[in-house]
Amino acid sequence: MNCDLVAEQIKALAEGELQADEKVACMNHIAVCQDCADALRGVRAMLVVRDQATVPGSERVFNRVMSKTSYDPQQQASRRGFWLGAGFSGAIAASLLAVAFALGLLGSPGVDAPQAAEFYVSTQEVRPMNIAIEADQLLQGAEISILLSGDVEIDGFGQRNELSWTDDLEPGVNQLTLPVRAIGERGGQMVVRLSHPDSEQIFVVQLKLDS
Amino acid sequence: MKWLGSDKNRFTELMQPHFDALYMAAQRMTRSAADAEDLVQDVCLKAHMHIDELEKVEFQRAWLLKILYHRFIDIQRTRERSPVDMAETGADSNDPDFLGRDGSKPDDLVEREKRLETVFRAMEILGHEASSLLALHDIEGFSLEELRQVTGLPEGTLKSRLHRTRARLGRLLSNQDIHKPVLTVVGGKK
Repeated sequence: MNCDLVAEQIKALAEGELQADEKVACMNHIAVCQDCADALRGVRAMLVVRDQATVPGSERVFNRVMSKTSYDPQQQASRRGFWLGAGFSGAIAASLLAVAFALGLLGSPGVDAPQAAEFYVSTQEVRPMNIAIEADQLLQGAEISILLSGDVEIDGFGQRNELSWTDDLEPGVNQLTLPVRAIGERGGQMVVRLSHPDSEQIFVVQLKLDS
Repeated sequence: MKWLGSDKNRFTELMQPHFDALYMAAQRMTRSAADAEDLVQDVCLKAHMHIDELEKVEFQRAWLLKILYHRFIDIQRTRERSPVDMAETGADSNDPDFLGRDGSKPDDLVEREKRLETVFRAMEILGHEASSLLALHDIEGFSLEELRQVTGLPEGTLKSRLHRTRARLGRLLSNQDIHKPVLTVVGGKK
């Protein structure tokens, strides 16, 4: 018996599926081989994870997850307009977009459908994108996640396309500024997810190349 | 990439056959129905952003599970560095679906939680690629042939990588340092 043979049989060994003579041969090798002894400990740990009880996702869970992932742009148009018109129109400049989250819907726990907006990026310069997050009360420990795709990056973060952190949101408007740059011709997309135990918002920003 | 109404049906059809596998894998890692749903939600968001790629890959389930394991490790890292979560076990102890389903006594559950936390911390140290490869084989049951087709790696390379990763995992689990929490303050407003 050698390490290669043990490697092939080690999962079966951990699961008690080897014949008695194969088991003895494996264990004799493992007794004198630290690497294989470690590997046996490793595979046993993975089997502990595997053997946890689980239940399939119900149709309700599936529909809930799908509803958070997709959105109807026509349905969102009026909502977008409302929030921009309700207090952020003054913040909009030619190359600056103010995106407003409404995280004040704590009376009805759950998730709002994603909202959407557009922002023009350039390969020539870094442009600050302002995201305005409005909360109607103090929200402690809100998680903010940014997911980027396409030919865009957040200046200073290089190739990282996922950022996530937690913060307390003050009542009123909380402003986040992201310096965004195009690094190619395709433009891209930014998904901003704002979650709190009582509420969740997903915002999709289409990042278009300013030609 | 467009997020149009027709994409919703297209995406739903793509995800439906794999949803249970994703959700159950997420439960194994998070031990909480709510956290599992959040994790699958994250996977779906990422998959939706790469829907064209998802349609093209031959082994969609492996592709999606790999995202899930990567994301889980990222979440683990964030939680371990968050002073807020240091006191939490990671399990949703109030969730009746996840308490004593197999008749375990509370002490056994606590012990199992500790053990799982240690395994997940070790997986984090192993890194995304090594952990997800091992998880796909040892937890999700993908065969070497399936992994060969998913990764493009020769079977011999896969065997040696899996053995090395298991050995590293085993060494990490025997190292007491892994049980010490890491406390780093992160976050804050920009």
